[in-house]
Amino acid sequence: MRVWNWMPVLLNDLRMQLRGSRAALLLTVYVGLGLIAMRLVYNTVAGNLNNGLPMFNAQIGQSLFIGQGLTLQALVVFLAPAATVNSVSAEYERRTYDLLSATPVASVHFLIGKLLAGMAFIALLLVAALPLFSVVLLFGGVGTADVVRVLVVLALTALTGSVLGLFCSALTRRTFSATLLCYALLVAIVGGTLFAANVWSVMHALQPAPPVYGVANPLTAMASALGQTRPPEAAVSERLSPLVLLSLLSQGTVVIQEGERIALPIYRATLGLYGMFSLTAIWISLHLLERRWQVRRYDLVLLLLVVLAVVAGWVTRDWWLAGLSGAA
Amino acid sequence: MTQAGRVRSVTLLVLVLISITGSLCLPTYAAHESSAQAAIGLDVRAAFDGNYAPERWLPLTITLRNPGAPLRVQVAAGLPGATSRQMVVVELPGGAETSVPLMAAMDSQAREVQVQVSTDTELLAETTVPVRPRPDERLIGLVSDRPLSLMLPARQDLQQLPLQAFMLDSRSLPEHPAGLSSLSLIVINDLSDQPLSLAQIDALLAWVISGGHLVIGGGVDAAATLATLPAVLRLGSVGEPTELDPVALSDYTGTPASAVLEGVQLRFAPDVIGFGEGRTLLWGRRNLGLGLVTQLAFDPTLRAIANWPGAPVLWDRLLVPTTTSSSQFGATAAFAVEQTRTLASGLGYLPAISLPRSNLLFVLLAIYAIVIGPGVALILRRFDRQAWAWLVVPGIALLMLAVTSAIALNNRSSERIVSQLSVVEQIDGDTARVRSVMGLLSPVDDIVALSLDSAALVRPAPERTSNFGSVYGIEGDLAQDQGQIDVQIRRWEIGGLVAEEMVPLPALDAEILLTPEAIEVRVQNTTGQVLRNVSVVYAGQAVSLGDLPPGGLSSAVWPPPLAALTPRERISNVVLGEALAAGRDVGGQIDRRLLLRETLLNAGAEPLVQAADSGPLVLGWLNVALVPIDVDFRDAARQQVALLIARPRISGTGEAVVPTGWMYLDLQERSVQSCRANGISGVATTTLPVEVPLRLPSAMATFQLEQLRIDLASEREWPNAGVRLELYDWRSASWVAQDFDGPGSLELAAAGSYMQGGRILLRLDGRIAEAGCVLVDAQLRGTLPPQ
Repeated sequence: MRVWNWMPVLLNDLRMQLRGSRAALLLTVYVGLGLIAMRLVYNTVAGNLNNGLPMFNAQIGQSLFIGQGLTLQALVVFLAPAATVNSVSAEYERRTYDLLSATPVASVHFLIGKLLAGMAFIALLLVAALPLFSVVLLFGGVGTADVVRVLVVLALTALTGSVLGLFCSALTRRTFSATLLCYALLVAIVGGTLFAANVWSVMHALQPAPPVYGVANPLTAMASALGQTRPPEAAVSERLSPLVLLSLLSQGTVVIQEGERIALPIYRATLGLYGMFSLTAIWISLHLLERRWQVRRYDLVLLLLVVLAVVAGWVTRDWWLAGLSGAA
Repeated sequence: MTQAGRVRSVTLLVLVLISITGSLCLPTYAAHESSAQAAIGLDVRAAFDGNYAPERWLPLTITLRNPGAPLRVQVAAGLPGATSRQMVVVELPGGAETSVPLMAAMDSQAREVQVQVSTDTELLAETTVPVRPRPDERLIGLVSDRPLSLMLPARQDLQQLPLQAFMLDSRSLPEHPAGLSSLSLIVINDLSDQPLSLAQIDALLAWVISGGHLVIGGGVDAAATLATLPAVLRLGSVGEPTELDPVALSDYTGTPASAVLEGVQLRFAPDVIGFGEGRTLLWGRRNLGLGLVTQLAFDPTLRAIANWPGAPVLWDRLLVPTTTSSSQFGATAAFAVEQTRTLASGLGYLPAISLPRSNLLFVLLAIYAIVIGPGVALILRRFDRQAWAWLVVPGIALLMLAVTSAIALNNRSSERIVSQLSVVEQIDGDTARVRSVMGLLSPVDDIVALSLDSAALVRPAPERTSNFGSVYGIEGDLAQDQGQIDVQIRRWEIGGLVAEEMVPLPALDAEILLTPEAIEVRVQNTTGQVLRNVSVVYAGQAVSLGDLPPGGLSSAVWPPPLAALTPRERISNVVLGEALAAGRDVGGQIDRRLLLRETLLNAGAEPLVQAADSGPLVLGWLNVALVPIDVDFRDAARQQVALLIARPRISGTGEAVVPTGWMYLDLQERSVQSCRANGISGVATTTLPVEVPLRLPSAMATFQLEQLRIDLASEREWPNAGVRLELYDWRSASWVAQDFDGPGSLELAAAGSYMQGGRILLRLDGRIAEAGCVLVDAQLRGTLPPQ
């Protein structure tokens, strides 16, 4: 059963991950930060109920949902690579990788095991944060489709972050270097794209930057996914769009159609981009792990997956290009 | 066939024919039976011959004849295409005729009113009444027990505001001011036979205060007519019959009047502006609220007037509406319409929703955040089963999700919102007129039951759009005299309705006392309601008296400390100035409750301040609507704000100083062309001499002037020379040139002869046209005689 050879690696990592107090503290910090963010948003909204536009429970629920979604996404963006950034390098640093090579566990199984173990921890964090969404239920205004959309973006961000950590770890084989590289890349992706969008905006008479600037940014993608959460179909409440709360992160992803602010679904393009990146990074990581570049059987499998992804992308191009073309 | 057989056959044939005939007749008979009840006779008569002013009420008199069994029917009147109707439930005794009044809420263009009589299941009768909007005309009600016809100018002879007169007998005069709302003038001439009821008098008074012009006829029956009117509507007493001065009438109309003009002597109160000379005054006028009362010394039905060629000019000049500003609602007084629209726009300032209780949820989640990490880890470490956390943590998380979700769903609050705004204006000692708008917001399409005072008149609110939301008029049959209304509301839109009612309300005991030392403002709350943020406002200044519980008394010195010297443009700025300004600073946000108060001030008090003789006002805030409307909305966020407006009396004896701003420009007296500069009313100048009439509030008409200071300023630069200023000397009846060419202050030490009845007249001549809009103010020192 060579197919299940990644299981020992996964099980071992799962056992190891929850030893000690690091995981417990991370859980509390993750849930606690989400709760604090939610309370801050609630206080801000409740403190301004009498000012400006009238606000309804559904809109408060949407504001909390948006705040919560962004907080969880920000945490996932920075925690997911941390879960895997030492997974390969630690084996090298402990000089256990050569021993592993002598076992029936192939590099591809090793990598899949490490990736699943890292993602399992992120999934544990997300599941632990689920009760926080009950506060949103108190106010309503968020539908199942909104929740699914946000969870999909969160999950794919977690996968991509974990793959990025794994890739950096396999590339440098040193935890310190991998961490530096990984977080430098993250800062470049998160901050750099926003900075570039703002520079573009400044150089073009403060017009919003083209949506393509935000595609790679996980926070912009989440903002775009959250921006689809519409207020109740009311003349009154339509005027208070949750997009107001996302103005910074939704740079260039909001268009005004028939007087209405509409968030472009650029998160769809982000999902495609992250999917392709993850596939490619895993492929390269495998070869980095083995330090051999000849064609292996998994290359054919991965090539097939890439081709399938490209075909799927071509077939669904209208769906994911909708965000980039500026038409909601 | 035998004889017996033939007989049987014929008999059978006859029986068959009878059966067929009977079976054919039976349905006809049955149908007749069923429609017998439906034969309801219906006659509808619209007041004012069906003429109405846009957006006002039109009284209908509906006569129903029921030849059948007793019935309970609904009579509804609606405009074509309207989504709401006015409705009244009537018990119809069998074989009798019943007459019911019904007010139809008019729009600005309807040409017919549809009236339907129905039971819960069946339409019994319907008819259509032709009506006609009169947006730019003077609709005049002639109330007299004798025939009264005025020789009014023909429509083609007038440039604007043609006159339409309708005879009303005193019995049919509406008992609700809304019923008079289409009229801009009412002429009462002879009510000696049938005095007005108390409700009719209250309605008449409220109509005048809201901007109506009441003309009271003179002549030998005038004393009897006056006796039926309240003191506030009487300008003076009627004396002996006398010969009136026809020359003044000739001068007024430009047509020689009859040499013999019989009338009565009028002895007016000091604050009444008389027309004519001495003991033969032709008429007198006094402002009352936004309205005007004119009392004639002659009977308008006099032959010398009725057949006089100058009569059309006389009536055209005399029968003027109080407000002639043109608007889409017509050129006549549109105060009520404008007030309703302003109030309706305030419905966008919705109250904050009722927040659900969330603290329990946050506390539970905080505990959970600790338990899910260290808590679980410590317990599992104790059993050396840390790896179980992969199952325990999701298990606890899902359990917690279920618990907190149940709590959340159980504590969800309603999205329904009810907002009611009211303007309460004191009419006389024990009555107030309340105009109230209510907005209903629901997340679902709904039919809502409203319970309200049966005397309230309800109509849909005018459609308004603001930055804070759109308001549409509620839909449904709005019952009058029922106290229960079911209305349909659309989800996520503010459904608005307007309710009007006269309510009993003890008058505020408010006084401005002028003493030699100071001016004191004193208000005692006698309304039985808690009054918040009470203030007295006059001449662009406001004194705050704080909150007044029932029976509470508060006083302060006028003028208020640090009061602005320049009157601001709007009363809302005077009362709420600093708070509003802070909210309008860059980055600031104004509390919607403050915006709501601003709207109420703009709707209720601003028109009064802009009126000719507004006098000081007492403003206070009530947390209850005096037209209570109960809405069957569970857990709804509710807001009730009412602005109470009352007028303090001005009193005092002895020496007094009248501060700047108290004298106002009397724009009606001399047809002064007004203008505004820096938010202050001024006089528009031309190359012709400009007369500037200044008046003290009516209550100070007896003020005896000793020293006068006149302040002159202008919108543009004042000419450096060549401006002549004259003051009218009432004793010598001549203009007296002053050695002062402005701008600045002119001080006169012995100025007693320049004031009469609280009036001062200035005349500006020469190059004054270069100054543009001229602002005139005065400060007086003198004596108030004992009352």
